[in-house]
Amino acid sequence: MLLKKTLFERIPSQWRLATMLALFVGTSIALTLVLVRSTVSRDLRRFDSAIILDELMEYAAIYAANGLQGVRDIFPAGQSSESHGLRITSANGQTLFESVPEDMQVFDWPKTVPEQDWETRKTHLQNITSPKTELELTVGAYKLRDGHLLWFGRTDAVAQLYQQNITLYLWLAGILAAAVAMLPVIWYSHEVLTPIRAFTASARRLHLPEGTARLMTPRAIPELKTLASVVNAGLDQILSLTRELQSTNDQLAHELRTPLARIRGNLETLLDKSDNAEAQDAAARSLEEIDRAAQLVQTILTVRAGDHGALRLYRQPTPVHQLIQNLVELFTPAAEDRQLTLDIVQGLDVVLNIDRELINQAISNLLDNALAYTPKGGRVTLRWQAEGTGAIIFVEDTGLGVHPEEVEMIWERYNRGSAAIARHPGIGLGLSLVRAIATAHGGSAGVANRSSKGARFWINLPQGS
Amino acid sequence: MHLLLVEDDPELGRQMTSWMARAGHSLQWVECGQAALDWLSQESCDAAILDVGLPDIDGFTIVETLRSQGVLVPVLFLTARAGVPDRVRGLAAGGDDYLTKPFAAEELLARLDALHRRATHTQPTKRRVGNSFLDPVKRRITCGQETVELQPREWTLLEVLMNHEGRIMPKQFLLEQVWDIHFDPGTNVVDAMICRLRRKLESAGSDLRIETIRGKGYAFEKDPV
Repeated sequence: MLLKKTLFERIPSQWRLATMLALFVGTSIALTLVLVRSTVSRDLRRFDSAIILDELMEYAAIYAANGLQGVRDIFPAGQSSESHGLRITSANGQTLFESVPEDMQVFDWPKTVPEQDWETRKTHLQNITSPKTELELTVGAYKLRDGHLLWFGRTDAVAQLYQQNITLYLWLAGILAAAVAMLPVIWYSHEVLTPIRAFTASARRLHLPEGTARLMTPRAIPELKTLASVVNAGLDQILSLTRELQSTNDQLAHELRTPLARIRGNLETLLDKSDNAEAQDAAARSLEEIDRAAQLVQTILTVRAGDHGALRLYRQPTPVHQLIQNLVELFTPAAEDRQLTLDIVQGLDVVLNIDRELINQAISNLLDNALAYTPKGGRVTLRWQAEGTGAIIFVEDTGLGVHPEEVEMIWERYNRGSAAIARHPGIGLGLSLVRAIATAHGGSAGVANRSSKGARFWINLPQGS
Repeated sequence: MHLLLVEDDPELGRQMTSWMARAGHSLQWVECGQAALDWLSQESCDAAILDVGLPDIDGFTIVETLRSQGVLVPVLFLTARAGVPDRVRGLAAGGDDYLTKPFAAEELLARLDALHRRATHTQPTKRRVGNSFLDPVKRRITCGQETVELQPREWTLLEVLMNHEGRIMPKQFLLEQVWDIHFDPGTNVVDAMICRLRRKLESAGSDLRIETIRGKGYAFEKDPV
């Protein structure tokens, strides 16, 4: 059942619509056929019975007036049809007169009438079938005044011909109706489906940075046009908000960095000109703080832009193995100083279209974390694997791991794991930055504790467009 | 060097004027884009330091104008915007280098050096420095009987330091020149690499020295004999 449902859902909608219309038309035709045929068949049967009764009366009158000879003379002249037959039998079933066309001789004509009160009913009708033909014979009997029986038979040949014709015309009408019923399908696929496909095509470009792509609806139905204009208005608003955020970010960067630059310059002069060791030390430490503050401003602005999809990316085709190799070379001396082993598990060569510097920064943050939280003698491993057309990059360590309750919390701005607070001062933006960068690339970032020991951080990066 | 500075912030302008004077460069300081274009149409200089956010014409546009006029003076942008797209835009406009505020005086000087050197750049060859014989192809340093081989990055680091002999190289400048990293990776990666390079030089008995200057960076010098 489930399989059938998913199969049906996979069928393109115009085929679904066509199937439904075909079912509808087919059912209508079938119902009409059944109803019309049964009605017509009943009416024709009545009509046949009426003819038989008429004829019986007529020949009874002729018999009454002119006797058997009269009937014998008149019947052949009066009947042109091959579907009428006349017999006169005596009360004990002996045939006195018979005029039955060849086609009707296949039927086993009755000899007698079942017991009947001829006073209340003057005629008797019975239907006779024969295995030799599909036709049905209706025979009427009339008891003549001399006690003989007058039989008049008529087959339903004409009635069946009528029915066949009616069936044929109904089929023709049905086929025509089915053809007309396909018009909505054609309309639907032209006016609804084609614009929806154009929608999808343009929607695919919406996530691009500075998304100026809009839903295009050249020949769509009014409802879709309305939808497109509503969506486009929303996108315009998002774009203008994004631009506003970017420009406030630029403004903020300028407002915050310029005074830092002024202070930095003056501190450098102080460091150069002072002969006092204590003053020099203070100036040197302040310079380090200024650089940290500048980096923090940059991180905050990047996280802020990344969280709102306003981070401008400079995507370049980047081989993942090369990017990771470079980072490992950069961090190896520092890792060795801490008596840690830093190694790479080589994955397949993957080339991703990413902002190289931001991804470098994200992985550096994870490495920085891993180096800080892995005890001496531990191991930090970088590996990656292809995931769809993108890749997942893992940074694994042999440290204490992440407390299960903090697995999500540590990614939030300014939140740090309990292990971090004890050991490193400062605010926790490192992992927020990692996540913001991953999100800006359309990917994600997360952490899980390894079954053995330590944590496994990962960044999932889809292939950029 | 003869330099042009375009900077609208009076404090920064004043500081840079004094740094350049101390470093032995002459500096012409103007405060807006139009003044810079006017000055450059009359005079010439070895390099121009351009603030991107100027009150009249932004730095990118100034360089585009200059380049369209065929003025090929090397340009270093100063800006508060640190994003890669901004840097790419600056370089695409025709700039040669890009420095983010706040910056160290030494970093500015090192970059100006590098800009100036770029025109007269020569391939490093085998040479003797102090008591050490340097082979850049095999990345090998020989002092008498002792020989030590350097990793590619260690060699690049040594080359960058030697190229700016006597100057203090800030950490960020080294990160960019050696590893092409434009952010602070957190862990003391540069310090660790310098220590390792130092140990290798000492183990070979070389008199090449790398000094750490607190709050500023690193400097290369030959041991005074």
